[in-house]
Amino acid sequence: MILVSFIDFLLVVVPVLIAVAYLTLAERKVMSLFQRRKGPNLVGPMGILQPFADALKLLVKEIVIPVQANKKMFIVAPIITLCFSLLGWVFIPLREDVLVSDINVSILFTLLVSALGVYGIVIAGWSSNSKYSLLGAIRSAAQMISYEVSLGLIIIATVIVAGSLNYVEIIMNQEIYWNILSCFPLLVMFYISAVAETNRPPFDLPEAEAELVAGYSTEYSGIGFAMFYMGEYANIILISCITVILYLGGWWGFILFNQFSFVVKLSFFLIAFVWVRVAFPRFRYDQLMRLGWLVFLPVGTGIVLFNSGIIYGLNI
Amino acid sequence: MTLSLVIYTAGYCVTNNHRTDLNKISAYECGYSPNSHESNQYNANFIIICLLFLLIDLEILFLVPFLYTVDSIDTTTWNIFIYCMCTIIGGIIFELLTSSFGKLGKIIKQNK
Repeated sequence: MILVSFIDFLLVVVPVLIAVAYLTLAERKVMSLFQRRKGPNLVGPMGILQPFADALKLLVKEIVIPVQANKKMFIVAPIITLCFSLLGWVFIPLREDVLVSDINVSILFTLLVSALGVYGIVIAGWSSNSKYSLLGAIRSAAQMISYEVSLGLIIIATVIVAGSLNYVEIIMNQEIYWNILSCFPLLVMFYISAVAETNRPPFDLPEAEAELVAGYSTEYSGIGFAMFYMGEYANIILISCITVILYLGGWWGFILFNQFSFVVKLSFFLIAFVWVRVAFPRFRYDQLMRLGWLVFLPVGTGIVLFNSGIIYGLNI
Repeated sequence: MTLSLVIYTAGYCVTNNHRTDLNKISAYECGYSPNSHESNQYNANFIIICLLFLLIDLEILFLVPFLYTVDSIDTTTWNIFIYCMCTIIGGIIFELLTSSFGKLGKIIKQNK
């Protein structure tokens, strides 16, 4: 029984890791196409083997543990970051019965896992015992938890329409009309909160190179750095999957691509992550906090009241 | 968890060099050793943000069971829901009007 669930978990996690590797390549190539140049195209045909070359390089690099760091916590931090990023993947359904664990409160668990992701960052920054790491980690963590609140409210406002916290139920509810028709402003707010939650540009001041070298992962090298990187991209793909499930109807097709609809919609959101990185300048830190607390929190609360008011008033 | 441990130990076993240079294992301080232990200080506003997150996230968690009763809302249920939401919103308004989010940016600018 444990072996079966472990194999289920591996069947989800190994393709996710390959997807993460190719997302790094896709990001570099798409960013370079936006800038009218070609991305990496030397390693394989059209650069297809580039992620494996990067992974191999990071694998054989020396693991430098600085002399002032707390050794145990320093080693644990990237491990738990990657662990929590991969843990959120067991709830994502590709079809009604193609998911590792079908529980009735999937959304709650997903919020839980993304809230636990802050632990890895804080432990990394604190255990490095270096000014830059600590500052970057604390700013990063404060940004992530601010947008946790906004994500929670927007998810509640969306799920009121569906009536259940189960991902499969929410997708079954969107068989005829996707949630984007009734919740389009929520999709916009959710996507912006998702970009801010995963510390991606234009919200990446805690990791901005000019300011803080590399934020919480300054002192990491080799496989530790690779695990932070993989965890960040796994988070990006996870939150894009959740966007597709909540707003775009999961596996229900539209006109074309009925068999691959989930993947096509998912890739649209992933390219949108890269697009947003290319197009917009960076937010200053107080503008970022203002957006999270003074804009998304009141608007999210208002939309929760609005949606539940409509459902109560029209006796749906 | 085991997968992450496996990846990390693979990386550790594959590397051939182990801490051979004094310059590599010192802190990232552009060449010199840090003179003071300033690394343990941070702004108090971040603690305020964390406390705010804690309280508001708990309030949001209390809103979650409401989703299961959305198909059969009575007038009494609605009244209680509005009462709870007014409490939450009152708390949020009070907190946001008297906290120092605007000052966080100015403090960060002064630190440079």
